[in-house]
Amino acid sequence: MRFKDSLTTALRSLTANKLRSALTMLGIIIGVAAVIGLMSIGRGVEASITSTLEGLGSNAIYVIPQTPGSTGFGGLTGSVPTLSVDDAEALADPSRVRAVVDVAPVGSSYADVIAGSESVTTTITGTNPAYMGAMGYSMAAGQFISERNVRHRDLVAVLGDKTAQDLFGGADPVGEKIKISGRRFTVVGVLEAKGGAMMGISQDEMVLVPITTFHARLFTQLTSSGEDAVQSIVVEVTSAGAVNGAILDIEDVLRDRHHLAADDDDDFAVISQEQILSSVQQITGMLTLLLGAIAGISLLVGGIGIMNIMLVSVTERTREIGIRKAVGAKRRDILSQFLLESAVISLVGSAVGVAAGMIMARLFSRLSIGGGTMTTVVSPDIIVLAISVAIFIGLVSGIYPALRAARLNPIDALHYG
Amino acid sequence: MIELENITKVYHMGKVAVNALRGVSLAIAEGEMLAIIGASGSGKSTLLNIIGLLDRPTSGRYLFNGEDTGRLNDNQLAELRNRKYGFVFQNFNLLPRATALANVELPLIYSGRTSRRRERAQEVLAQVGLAGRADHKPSEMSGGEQQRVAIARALVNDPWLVLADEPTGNLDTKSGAGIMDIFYRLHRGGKTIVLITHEPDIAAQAQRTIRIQDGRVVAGEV
Ligand SMILES: Nc1ncnc2c1ncn2[C@@H]1O[C@H](COP(=O)(O)OP(=O)(O)OP(=O)(O)O)[C@@H](O)[C@H]1O
Ligand SMILES: [Mg+2]
Repeated sequence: MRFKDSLTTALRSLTANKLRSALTMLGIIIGVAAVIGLMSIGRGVEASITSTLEGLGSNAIYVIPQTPGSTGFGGLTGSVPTLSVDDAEALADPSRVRAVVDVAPVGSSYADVIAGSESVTTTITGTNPAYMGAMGYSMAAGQFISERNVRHRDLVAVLGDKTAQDLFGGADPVGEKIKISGRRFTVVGVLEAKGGAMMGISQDEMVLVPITTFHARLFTQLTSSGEDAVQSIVVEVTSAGAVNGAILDIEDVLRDRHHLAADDDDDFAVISQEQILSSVQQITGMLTLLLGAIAGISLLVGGIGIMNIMLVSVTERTREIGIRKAVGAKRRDILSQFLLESAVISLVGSAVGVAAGMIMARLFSRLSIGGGTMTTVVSPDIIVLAISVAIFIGLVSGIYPALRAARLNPIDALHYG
Repeated sequence: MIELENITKVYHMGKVAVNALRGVSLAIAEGEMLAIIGASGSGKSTLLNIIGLLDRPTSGRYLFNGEDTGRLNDNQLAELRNRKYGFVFQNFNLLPRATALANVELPLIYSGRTSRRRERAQEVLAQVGLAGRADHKPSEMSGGEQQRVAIARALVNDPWLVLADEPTGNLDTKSGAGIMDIFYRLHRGGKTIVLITHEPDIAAQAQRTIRIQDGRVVAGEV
């Protein structure tokens, strides 16, 4: 029997049983769509976080308060103020911290911001001019907080792109007045949009003010030693290669300043961009894996569905097999007919599944979660993976029923049922 | 030329063994028309299925043109069934979702023939008087017509032997007579035919008759 005839036979038999074929396909379609849809979320989260973090610059080091004795992200809390503006100033000394270029203290809090009739609640960040370079921002309009602003505790503010949009619409905010916690500030600049959100927190939704103004006029918070507290300190060093050396120096300086004895644990944590990136990627990688596993299970269920329907169909069609064998069909003819049937089902099913999965990914990216929109990434490797798994499952689940059908004795098959 | 030597067939129903054939020896010469008669359960169908290579005997030798079919594997048997044998069943055994033409074409597909398949199928359909029913499905045809389609399918590869197990058993007298006319015509044309029948006048018209009783040939043995 020629291949073309086997194929025609298989196709005829599939179209003769449209409902059965469609139901079998549905299992594969759902499985493949789930793999592509869910993996696109995982990959999307990974991609957006990675791009966000990479934007921070690889020669930045972050210092944050940490409850002594705890390790990992669990101990990183902003609520215990152990870092101060004075710590930041101490770290800016190149004779104590190798390769340091600049240091930005970061105080942050939430407040209502009002401009005219518009009002938003957003993050207020108190910092100094070093922040812009260290965090990789650039200006869309006006200028950043200056040294002078910090010295004079000026009531000036720089807006994130999204916050500027929310408060002023399309109008130019530079020179306009806003009220933060009831105090009037003059907008001196607007940041270029960075795009991307980190854990749902947009990097474009914020108001920056001088660190001195932040403490003196908005949020007074002191460390236990009576210094102005900050939520984090960003240290910029000359190059990515200088990061590890600088981290050691930073630890020395801070332990010294915090009067920690040799066996006391650190009350701060020093993290490089690379470390954040790798631990976040570890988490998002696990997320992708988890989503993939869920999707894989649904694909497997689809495969078992094919196997089941193929088995039922072999039983149902035992007489047909008997007739074909009686008129001269060989084992391989029966085998190839049933295998081709499941191959066609899994091929067409996975093609439809890919389309459905891509539509799903589209729909997901329209959903907005916690104010930020979700990014989904459909990468070719996932498509290839989903299709090959689907076809593999389709063929494997087709082989057993096909073998059973092919082995039947013609007369037994004819007398069946 | 077909030669059966001491063919037996034992069916196992759980622990009970059923001796359906107890040593049948038989020769079928080219061009003859052989009728097999016997009581129900005597082993006629069992014998015909073995002759038609649909089943293997438990013991005994079966020679087709001098070749021992017991030594052939399943694929070689399938090939013989396809090219040398045409089987007609009491209950037609057509593919229900396929048209008459597609049913008749089926053996040609399995013989790997590529050219003029539809024409050949159409030609044989015309021979059995169904030229106009090629596109009908079995459910759209009468029993007599369905059996004609089955005969056309049996003939399409121009087999050496045509076997029929009570071909008129499911038909009324008139359609049955029409079917038998086809077999008589085939016989006159020189085709070798073996058929099982319960009807004495059909047996009477056959060239040779054997009677099976309790798994043995009791009359007309050659
Ligand atoms: N597949 C089978 N399994 C077990 N026993 C069988 C099988 N096929 C036939 N038999 C038994 O073998 C014996 C012969 O059966 P067979 O069908 O050959 O009879 P038959 O002469 O064709 O009868 P009928 O005229 O009713 O068609 C019977 O006793 C039958 O019950
Ligand atoms: Mg019988």
